[in-house]
Amino acid sequence: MSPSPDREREWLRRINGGDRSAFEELYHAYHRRVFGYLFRMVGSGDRADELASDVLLEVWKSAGKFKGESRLSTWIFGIARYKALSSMRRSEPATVEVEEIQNVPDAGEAQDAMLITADMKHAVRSALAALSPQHREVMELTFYEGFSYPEIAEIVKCPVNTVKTRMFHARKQLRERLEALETP
Amino acid sequence: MTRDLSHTTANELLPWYANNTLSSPDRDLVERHLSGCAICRQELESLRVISNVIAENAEDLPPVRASSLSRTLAAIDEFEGTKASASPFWNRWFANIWTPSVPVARFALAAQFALIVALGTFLLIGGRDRSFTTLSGPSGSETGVRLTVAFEPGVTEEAMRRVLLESGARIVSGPSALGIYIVELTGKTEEDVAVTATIDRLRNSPGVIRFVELEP
Repeated sequence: MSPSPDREREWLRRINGGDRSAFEELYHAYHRRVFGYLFRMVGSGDRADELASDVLLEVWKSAGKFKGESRLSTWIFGIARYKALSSMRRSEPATVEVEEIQNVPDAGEAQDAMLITADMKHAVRSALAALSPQHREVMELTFYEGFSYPEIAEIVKCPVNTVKTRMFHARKQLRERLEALETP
Repeated sequence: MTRDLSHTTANELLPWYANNTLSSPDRDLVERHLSGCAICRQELESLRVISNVIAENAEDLPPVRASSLSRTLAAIDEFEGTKASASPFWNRWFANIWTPSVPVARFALAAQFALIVALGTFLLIGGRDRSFTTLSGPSGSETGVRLTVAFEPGVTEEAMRRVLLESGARIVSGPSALGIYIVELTGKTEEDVAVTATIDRLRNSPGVIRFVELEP
């Protein structure tokens, strides 16, 4: 269960004053979530572990800069995403998502509903694994981390329409892959 | 086939309807649409299955190192240490002076108070009717004609003093490396007839003055 916003603000106030016990409370509340998010982004447990430390150290350093205009989790995931992308940029060539320069498509094109049952979970898992990192990320931030689309836009630093577009493409690709897996 | 705008909008919002994060207006829009759209209801069910699979996948994480917290705390200690040593010495010194500890501040206040009392007492009691003068006499706030003077080698201090006093002159600068002095005839101007007479008298001081000229 997520801590209340008041409690989180109190943690940050104390951390800003150098209170290590407040930092440990925040650490225990967020470390596993941040680690999981980073692991799914960078694909390595060791690297995710180092990055999670970096993220929480950044929270310590910047506690006084958090203005409270968004949820603490949104702020922390924004830092985590930045750290992960910086780390990935150091080891991989940059990629550009094609759909970010396209118009938002007509959702009506993708209306052939997916019929997914419990016995298709393995197929869904495979199809998810095949998504691009940006598409998988928006799905995970939505369905696992439980963020709203404006919050995701803040975390990934893009307009809300881009979030919707990425989600649209993620759903479309997922559907196509599942259909391909169904076809003998 | 082109579908209506509300269908497109509602379908686009379904993932966030499924995770229960839509604002009230968005949620109302989606719910109104869902009541009449079988395709979107089916899509919503599919998204819920996907949501469950993602949640299960997301739980499948490698173990977190037990030392993670201690490493993070060590990194914080290192950061704090670097921050402290990175600030220049004078900044830390000034910070200590500006925000002294309570005992230091009390001592400084007490010392300041004692000094004020001591100075006040001195001015009220000991400072009355005490006058002093420097060995060189009044300083050169007065102005007058200045002369360049060279004394004869071997002249005595007594002879120099006598000649200068008789002429109303006093040394204001010198000697230079060449033994030149600047003397001032206090209260006199170059147009003053007495100046010429004084210069003549100085020039006629055998064995004392080698030469004397108005300072250029």
